[in-house]
Amino acid sequence: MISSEQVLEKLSYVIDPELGLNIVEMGLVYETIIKEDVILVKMTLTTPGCPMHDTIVTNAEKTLQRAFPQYRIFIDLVWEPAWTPEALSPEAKKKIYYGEDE
Amino acid sequence: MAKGINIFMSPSFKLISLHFFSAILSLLAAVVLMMVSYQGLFWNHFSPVILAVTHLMVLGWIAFTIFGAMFQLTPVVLQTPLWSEKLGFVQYGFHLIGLVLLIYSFYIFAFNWITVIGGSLLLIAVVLFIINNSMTIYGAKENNITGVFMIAGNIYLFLTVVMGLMLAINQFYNYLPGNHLKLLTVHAHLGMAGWIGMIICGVSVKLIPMFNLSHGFSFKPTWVVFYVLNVGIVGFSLSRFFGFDSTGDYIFIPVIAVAFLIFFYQILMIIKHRLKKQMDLGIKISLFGYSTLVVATLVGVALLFVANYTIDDKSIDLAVIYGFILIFGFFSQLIMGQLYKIVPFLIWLHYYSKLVGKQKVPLTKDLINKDFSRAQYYLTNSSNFVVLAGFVFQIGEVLLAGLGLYLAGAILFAMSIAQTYVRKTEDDLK
Repeated sequence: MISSEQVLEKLSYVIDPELGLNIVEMGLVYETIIKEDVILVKMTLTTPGCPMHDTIVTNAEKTLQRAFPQYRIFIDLVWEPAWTPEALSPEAKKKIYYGEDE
Repeated sequence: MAKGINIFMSPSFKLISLHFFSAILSLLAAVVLMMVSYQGLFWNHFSPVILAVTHLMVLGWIAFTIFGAMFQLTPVVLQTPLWSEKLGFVQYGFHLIGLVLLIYSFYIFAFNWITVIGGSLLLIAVVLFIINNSMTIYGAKENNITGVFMIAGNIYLFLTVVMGLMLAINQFYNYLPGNHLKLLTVHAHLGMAGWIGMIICGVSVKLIPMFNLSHGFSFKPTWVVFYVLNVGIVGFSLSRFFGFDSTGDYIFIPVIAVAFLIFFYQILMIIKHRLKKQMDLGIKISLFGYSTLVVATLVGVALLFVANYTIDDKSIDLAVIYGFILIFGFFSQLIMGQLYKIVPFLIWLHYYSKLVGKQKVPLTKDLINKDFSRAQYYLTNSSNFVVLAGFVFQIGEVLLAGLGLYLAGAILFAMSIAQTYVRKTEDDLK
């Protein structure tokens, strides 16, 4: 049986290429449920209609499928509760708030 | 199954790249055309070279970019696939041939069957685009503010091209009542404020918050812009058609101006509410563009009171200066800034998205050559001021020097974008 931490570790490979942050540190992953041969990830995006919508969801699914081939992967994209900047991890906040101009 | 996961909305890489490539080529061609015929730029705004350059900029540089960007963005913003990719290629063919014919006939100032065929082919391209875009929007589960602006923009685009074609036919088959130049202004406003204005407002309020991770601002000003801008454009056009020229102009031009100033306020609000504090070059160039919109708007209003002025007994057409600020200052800067953002995004999706989780992948900002783009930024900005000085003081050599600088900036821009297409290996990313 795998743990939630292992799932989150793999999900941290999925990045938003515009912000340079991964979906875990952005606080987009709300919940991971592992039951028998199923991994269910409840997650959101920063806003509906995000251009990264497909990419992030597909990459999350594929990354988990590659890492845990014996499991069936389900990604449940939810809009409630809506994402807020408070969900950013402290490191992510630091990168976003204090990054330097080019 | 996750919602949306089996809806494949990735944009067509080839179709979009073809449009962006043609757009940049049109920009380079327009600047070269201006340099070759720079003396003609000092005539009034209905001179052959100004007609040719304006249409090459608007139907080439701007239209190819807008069509390409809308093929890319409409599906992702509304989460629905592009209705028909094939139709996009067919549309491109009509667009390209129509554009070449039209520019040729304008440049040699011969209004004949070439103008009409060119204009008709462009009209077909526009209709095909509108069908494709409307069906894509229609396929979306729910529309949003950007979709509403796009629909309005499409209507204005159609009216602009129909009216342009009517004006071209009128040149040799004089059938339209009233002053040709006055109707030409309606055509120009339908295109610049109606079509391009609507698209820029609608797309900006979606993209600028995303690129800057802006949260907690209101979209109310954008809705106000939508209504005010429509009232301004429709009012202006109708008053010209029904012959209330001066009264209508004094009412509706300021209304259009107010709409754009509210839009600028909305952009400032979005920037103020951004979480991502660092600004990359794409955003900086875009903001420079938005600021130029304010200048263009004020000059546009000033045109109501001063149509021309005199230096050394030469009458100078202020509309030419206004057009330059609007097209080269606002539209071009914004397009360059936004292409620096959306082309890397397109490339990233095409090449690198599938490598996520397998190997280190670049970020979108790693795909832009920073030396080229920074040099381009300074070169283009400074050249704008030199060209403007050439126009304001009517000095040919200054104008030519400014255009030379602008061309150098445009070439650097083309090189920056081309570099984005060069695949990055893992070694490049270390």
